[in-house]
Amino acid sequence: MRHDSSASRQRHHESSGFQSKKAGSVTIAPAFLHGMTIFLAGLAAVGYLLVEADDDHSHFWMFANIVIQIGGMVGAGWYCRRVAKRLNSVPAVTPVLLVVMLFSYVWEGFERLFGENGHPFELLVMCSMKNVILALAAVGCWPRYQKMAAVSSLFIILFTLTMKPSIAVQIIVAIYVLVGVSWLSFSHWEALRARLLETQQAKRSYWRTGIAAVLIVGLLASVGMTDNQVTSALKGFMPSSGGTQHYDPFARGGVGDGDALVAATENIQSFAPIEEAPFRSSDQPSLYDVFDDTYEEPIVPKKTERAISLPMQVSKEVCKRIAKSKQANRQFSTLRQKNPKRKGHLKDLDSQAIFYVAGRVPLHLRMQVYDLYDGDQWYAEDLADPRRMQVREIKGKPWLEFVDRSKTYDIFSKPETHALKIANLDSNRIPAPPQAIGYHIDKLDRLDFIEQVQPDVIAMRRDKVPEMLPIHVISRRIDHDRIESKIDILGRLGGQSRYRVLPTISEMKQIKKLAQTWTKDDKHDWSKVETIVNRLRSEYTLDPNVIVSDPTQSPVAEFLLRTKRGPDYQFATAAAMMLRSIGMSSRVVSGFYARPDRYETRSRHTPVLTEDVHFWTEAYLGAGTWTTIEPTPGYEILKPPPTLLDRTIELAGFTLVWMQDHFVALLGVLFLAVMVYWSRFAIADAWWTWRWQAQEKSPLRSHVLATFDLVERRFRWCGIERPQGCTPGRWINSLPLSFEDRDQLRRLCQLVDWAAFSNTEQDLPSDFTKDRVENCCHEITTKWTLKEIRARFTPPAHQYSTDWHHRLWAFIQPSRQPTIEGKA
Amino acid sequence: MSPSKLVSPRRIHSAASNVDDVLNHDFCPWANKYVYWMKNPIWLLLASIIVSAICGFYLNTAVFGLTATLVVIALLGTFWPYVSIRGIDCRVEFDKSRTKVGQSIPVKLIVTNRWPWPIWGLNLQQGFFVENTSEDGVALRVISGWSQSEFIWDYAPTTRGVYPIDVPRVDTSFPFDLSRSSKAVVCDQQLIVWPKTTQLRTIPDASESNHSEDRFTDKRAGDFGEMIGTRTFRPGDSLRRVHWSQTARQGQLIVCEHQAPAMTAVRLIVDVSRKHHVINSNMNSLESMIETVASVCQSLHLQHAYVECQIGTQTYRCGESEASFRKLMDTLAKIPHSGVETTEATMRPASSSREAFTLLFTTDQAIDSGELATGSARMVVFNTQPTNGQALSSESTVRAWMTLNAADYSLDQLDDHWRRACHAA
Repeated sequence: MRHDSSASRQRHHESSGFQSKKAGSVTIAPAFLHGMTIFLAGLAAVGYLLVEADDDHSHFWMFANIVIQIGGMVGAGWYCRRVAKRLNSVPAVTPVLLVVMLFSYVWEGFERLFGENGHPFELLVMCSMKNVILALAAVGCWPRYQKMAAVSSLFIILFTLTMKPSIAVQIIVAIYVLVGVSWLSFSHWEALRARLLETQQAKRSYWRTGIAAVLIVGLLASVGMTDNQVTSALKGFMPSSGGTQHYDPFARGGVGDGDALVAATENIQSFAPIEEAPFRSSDQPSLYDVFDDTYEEPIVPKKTERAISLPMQVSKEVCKRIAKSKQANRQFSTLRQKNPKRKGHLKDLDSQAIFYVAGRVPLHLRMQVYDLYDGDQWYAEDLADPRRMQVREIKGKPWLEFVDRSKTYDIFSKPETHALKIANLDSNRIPAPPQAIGYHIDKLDRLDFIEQVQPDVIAMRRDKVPEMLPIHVISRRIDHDRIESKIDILGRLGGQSRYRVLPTISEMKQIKKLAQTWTKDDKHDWSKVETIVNRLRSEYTLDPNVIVSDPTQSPVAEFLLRTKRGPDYQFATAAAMMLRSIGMSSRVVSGFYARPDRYETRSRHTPVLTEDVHFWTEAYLGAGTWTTIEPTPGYEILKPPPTLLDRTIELAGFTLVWMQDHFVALLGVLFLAVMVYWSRFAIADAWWTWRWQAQEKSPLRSHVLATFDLVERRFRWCGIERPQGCTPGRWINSLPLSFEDRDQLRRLCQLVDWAAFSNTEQDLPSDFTKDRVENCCHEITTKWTLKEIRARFTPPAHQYSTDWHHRLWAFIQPSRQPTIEGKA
Repeated sequence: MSPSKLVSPRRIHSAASNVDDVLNHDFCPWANKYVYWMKNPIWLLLASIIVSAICGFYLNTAVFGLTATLVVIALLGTFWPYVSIRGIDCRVEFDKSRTKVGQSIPVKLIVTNRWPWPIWGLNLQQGFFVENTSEDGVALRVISGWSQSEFIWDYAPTTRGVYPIDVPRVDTSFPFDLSRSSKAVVCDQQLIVWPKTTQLRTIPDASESNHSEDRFTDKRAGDFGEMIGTRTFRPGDSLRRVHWSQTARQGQLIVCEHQAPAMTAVRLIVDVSRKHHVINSNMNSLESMIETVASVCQSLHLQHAYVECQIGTQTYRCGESEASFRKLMDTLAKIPHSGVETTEATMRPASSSREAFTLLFTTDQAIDSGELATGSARMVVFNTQPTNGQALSSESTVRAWMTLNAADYSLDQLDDHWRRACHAA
């Protein structure tokens, strides 16, 4: 009994629902596509029912409706598929659809007349459309109706999401999108399936693939495996926010949705240093003062400080807006206030940091500037010549800015903004990065609220900077790489003499000599600075616990000349003294250091804690410009924003370093990958054999087909593929096998023919019984293992080229495309 | 009429069909060309994007998530094929340069993928298939990244002509069939598809027998070739032809009869004038005529007849040489599908062969128009009028040597028609 294999395959495909069928001249869509359409329509119907129920109906009502509607659709779909096989043309479905569409309106009329119950117009229209979609999905065995059902269901989903964006609906939409995309793709593939050709021969460029694989592994290694800056910069293109009753610790935006201190307007529980937050009454001294005449118990402030008076409309607008929200979104309820989890979490967060920095770090934030040093103590600098400030409006926001000095050197990068979100700063000074140009505090448009207390240090005219206040600062970075070429007049012009004053200590000569020794080979002033800083950073050790042991000694001298170990202020002092000793103007600055290792990738903020108080040095470049120098090891200066090239080089460097650090693990993974690749056919064989064994109890017909499928797979993994359109019997005949082997496999082919074309065991080939069939299958799968097939067929000489990489691959993968030259 | 008859299933079905016809009737077919582009799902997707964006703006911002998803799907469906097709180079090669309608020929498609990623769902339709329906063409499952793949498929052209008909193009609309991007396929060869033919076993009895030195016939006694029989001596017979052994045995002079030199020569005049043919979806008299002429030519050629075929102003002589036969069939293959513009003069038989056995292939429309100068030619008439079982028009009937109905033309029946005409001639 011989049959054409293509017919056999077609039958197999049809039985599994993976092939379009033709009844007469009408194409019937495959069952799985029809099923997907029914699923899409069912999702749309469930979504609609959720909107219609609107939490008013019971679960039973929902369940009953879902069961009736979807059950009806599935039943009708099953019936239509059965009918479609007998019909020679597409039946007249349109009148039925028309009736289904009108039914909703007619039923609505009855409901309003007799049941005194009804639906709003939009729900009625959507209900009608939903019913039509269910009917279309039921008749989706005919492709044109199927497409209409799938497309129309999208609009129902759209309606559902618009009306009720609850979690359940969002899950439905997500599933709908996944299934819809799959349906699109499968529909397209189904149209191609009948015309697909098999590759006859393929030449692959393995060396290029190999290079690409290595590059991808490198990129993954650098980007995806650690929580570094590169990773975090690539994350979060989309805000996962909403502020609607849903807590997500990984959210990047929205109030109450995450741990981030970010802007939103809906939930007062997450009140944080954000400008858009609504105003609330507090007993703390606020920066803002609003007249409130609501009938509530007034909150008496414990202390009164200078504040910005805001018009009454502000508080009215807040109330009005909330009222509006209440109408539009029924979710605005007191429920939020009952969520103790969020409250507690935010409180904990507030208690840790002095303030947060949003923007690039590391960042030095100036608080106090010192100019005179007497050998023991630094003295804070007085403000001799305050710079002029002005208020300028940029995009509707008031900015307090220094009147820009004339540019003397082209050493500045583009201005960049940092946002400081004050939490617990017990000072009225505003921490500011070096080269700050302007400040912005919401609604603060008057200069008399701030004052300059020291050069380049401004403070609010209050006891302390109010909590929860966001402050935006624009500053510029100095590109140190450009200084050497632009400036060779470091501190010699314009620098005031007090920045060059040296303390009268006995060791000063030694310090001066040391500085000269270090800088004797440097021609330019900036290179001298760099040398001193580098020597300090490399030869001295940061140790915050070291204190001066001998009070008779100058601490700086002891640090520089003897201990070579000390806290950061010793480094700063030493650097300043050494610079002054070679005639350069310098000063010491204290403030905060926003550490990059504290950067929180989830909130995208860097908290500054009390232990981040830091001292550093500034060198005078002339023309009123001070540049930060960092002599303390472990602390870095924020460089100008990197260009694309810089980022690329940094990424490459990071990748290399990471690979170097994880060399052994990487090698292990690579080895594992190669081993898995090497033995991929063995792994696949184990899996398919296990599957075959699991199906051993299945019906005889399936068992025979599964056996042949397994054997054919094994041959294919050894590179011997059954040509398209070749029957199993003919294929086995074409293989160079011994008489016994061929006879055994041909018996399996006979069974395959039986399994493909007959359902009853009475039709089994004459010398077969059920037990014999099972034995035959077992013997064949046991005998024709992957190893056995490989052993019988010699590997080929590579047919494409004699290039080394081809030969290498032929060696690596001996089972690839062997010639059929059996030993038998 | 009883109520049961009013609601009988047949009546309901009939009524439903009528309503269905009305609801699906194309009332303004002229507008189709303006609105058919909307059938592409990308426009529905764009419509849903716009609607969802409006809903997002005015009703609920949560819908923006769906908008973004739809935008991503639209962009993916548009740019994936656009980018994929730009990394593809295709070349088509034929194993042979000639074939016949319906006969398959292996065509090799070589595809090079320059992208590092695989490309799925390439489709080749244009250039090889007259009507690009969804069932025509071939599709390629996957082209691996940085690879060159070869595909061979058995191409069975359905119409005669020179292939590729147009510049062949591969296209892809993977993954969602939202947008289709295509690229020209390099094809340096031509495949000439001859018309479909059938074997005719008869030669017209009235066809002329020319003397030939290398062709002999058994049907006529002559002086050359093989001996075909014996007979009694007649005065005038050459003594060289006396069969002496038979003479001795029978006691009277017996002579041998040999083959006579003979060769069939047929002249065919083919009316391919556009105005004489009816070409529509139900009937194509030109194709029927070309298939008939090709069958006649091939059969006569196989029977060693000398064929002259006049197509338009060109006359093709086809003797023993295969080259001349190929040239004639190539010409038949290349006749435009819509016929050619001819003048009255081009349909006139050439004067040099007016005495030959001439068959004029034409249509009843040409005869009725009176534009044909047939002379002594016998006419093979293709009837383009619906007969409905009635006789043909009198003039066509009277003058036709063989009549064929273009409407229900079948090549399988040609041999039968031809045999009858040959014997009747």
